[in-house]
Amino acid sequence: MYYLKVVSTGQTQILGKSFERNDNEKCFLRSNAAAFLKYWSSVLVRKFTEKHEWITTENGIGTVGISNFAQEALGDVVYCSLPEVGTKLNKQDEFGALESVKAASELYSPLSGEVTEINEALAENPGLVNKSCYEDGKLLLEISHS
Amino acid sequence: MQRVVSVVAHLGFRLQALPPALCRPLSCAQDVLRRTPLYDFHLAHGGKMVAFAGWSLPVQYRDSHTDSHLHTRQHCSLFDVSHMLQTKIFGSDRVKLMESLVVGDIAELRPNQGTLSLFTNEAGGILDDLIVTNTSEGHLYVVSNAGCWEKDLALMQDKVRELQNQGRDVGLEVLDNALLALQGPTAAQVLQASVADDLKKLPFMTSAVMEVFGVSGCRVTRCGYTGEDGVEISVPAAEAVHLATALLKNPEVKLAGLAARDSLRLEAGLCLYGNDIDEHTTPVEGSLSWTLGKRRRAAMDFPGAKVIVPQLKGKVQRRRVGLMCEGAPMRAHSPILNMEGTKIGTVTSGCPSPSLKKNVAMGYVPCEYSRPGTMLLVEVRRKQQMAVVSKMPFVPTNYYTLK
Repeated sequence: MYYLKVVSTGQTQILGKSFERNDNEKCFLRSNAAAFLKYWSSVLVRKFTEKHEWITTENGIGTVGISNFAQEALGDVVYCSLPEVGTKLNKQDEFGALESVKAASELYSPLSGEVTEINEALAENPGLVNKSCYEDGKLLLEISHS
Repeated sequence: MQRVVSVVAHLGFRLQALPPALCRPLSCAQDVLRRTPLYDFHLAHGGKMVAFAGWSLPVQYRDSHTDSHLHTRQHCSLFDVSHMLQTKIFGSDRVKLMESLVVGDIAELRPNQGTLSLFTNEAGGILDDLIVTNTSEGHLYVVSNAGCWEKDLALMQDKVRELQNQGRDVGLEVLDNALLALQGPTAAQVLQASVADDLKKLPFMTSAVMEVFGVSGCRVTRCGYTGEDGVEISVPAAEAVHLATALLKNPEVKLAGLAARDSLRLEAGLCLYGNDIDEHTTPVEGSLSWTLGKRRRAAMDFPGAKVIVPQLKGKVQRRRVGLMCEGAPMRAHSPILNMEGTKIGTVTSGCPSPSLKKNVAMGYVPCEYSRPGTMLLVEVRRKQQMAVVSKMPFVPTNYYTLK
């Protein structure tokens, strides 16, 4: 089990590996280097911006959302204003906003790139941002141009 | 929410949290926020405290804003509104004093009847909105906004002194009571279980002193700021926690904070002083002509009458209207445009309506655009959205009247 510490200043740290003293562990330790590297590359690394967006990248495509801290501070999201597919963004460009009954918050692009997909489910169900900010409530996909 | 705002602002996550009236900066002399008698009670119930008009008050508790709002419309909610200024005006010239400051027919109030009224200035601008009740205990009971505490108190005290110097019999006392608002369709039923008086005989905008949950000397007024049936209970500060605790034992009752208070009043079409009306709005512009007493209009004997009364027959530059739209919510300061794209006014309050699942707002537009059904544009996030002028209240009110 790899533990990831996620900090809010745009960095992630791998803290370390925990060991279970059982047969499964022994099997793991005995596996070859290739299997080890394959396991390592599939560990999810989520990076956070200063503005509480998160991004995970796979094959040059970033998935962007807001953090749990942000969705709690915002309250029940009632409206998501997201850009159109194809919109080109520079890092830190404002690309949209989330609105709750009480507050509104702008969203900023964590990278320079082009929007390839937006989460259509949020139009009908903006509350997904609160219920599942890291999964079903993700905002959009962006292909990196940098 | 403001504490949250300052914390998250530091981290770069910007929130347009509360209307300006709620984010008024504290004066240098006041580093410490005032606390109501229920401060610890709020913390114990999970209240998220924010600064509002110099007070520390809960913006919400453990329930979400939306849940709290809807609970008030379907059951009932308990609000701590002790931050508001409660004053007693006594003496045989109390009505004379009150009428020298407000626009209403105070002399015509029946015993224990209250009314919404307005303090105005000589330019016809609204200094504050307030509720005046003609109690049968020989005094006028006045409740006005926390945000205007110093202004209103100075206004009333100066007038008291002026009249006393003329040999008049009048005095003023600030009440050190807590004020609890119980609002919602089941509020009366909840309260009835705790009072001997028959609440069916206490209609909207009337007041009575009664014993509530064993606490004597509570003034119960059938009024509120949500559009629902309900009461405001003025209770001696030392008994506030006992009363709140007792009310909360009823499963119908949940605590609600400033966030729900604001979305509820907006749905009910009620003004927030500092946002929807201020010293630069006249009662006619604010669509509050009904507060101008019939006798007072003829006598022109209230501050600003020379400016206000002609507006009743003539034209005003602008009027306060309700707006509804879909899409992104309209918020305070959003520009209002006509269909040709010319800016014609501004939104003064707005939020998504939890009850209607649309966006509601109040704003000012020129008279020719003020008819319900008029299509307009509101600029939200640099995009222009269609909005329609709507009658208020947006959500039907449920005041308990004896008709």
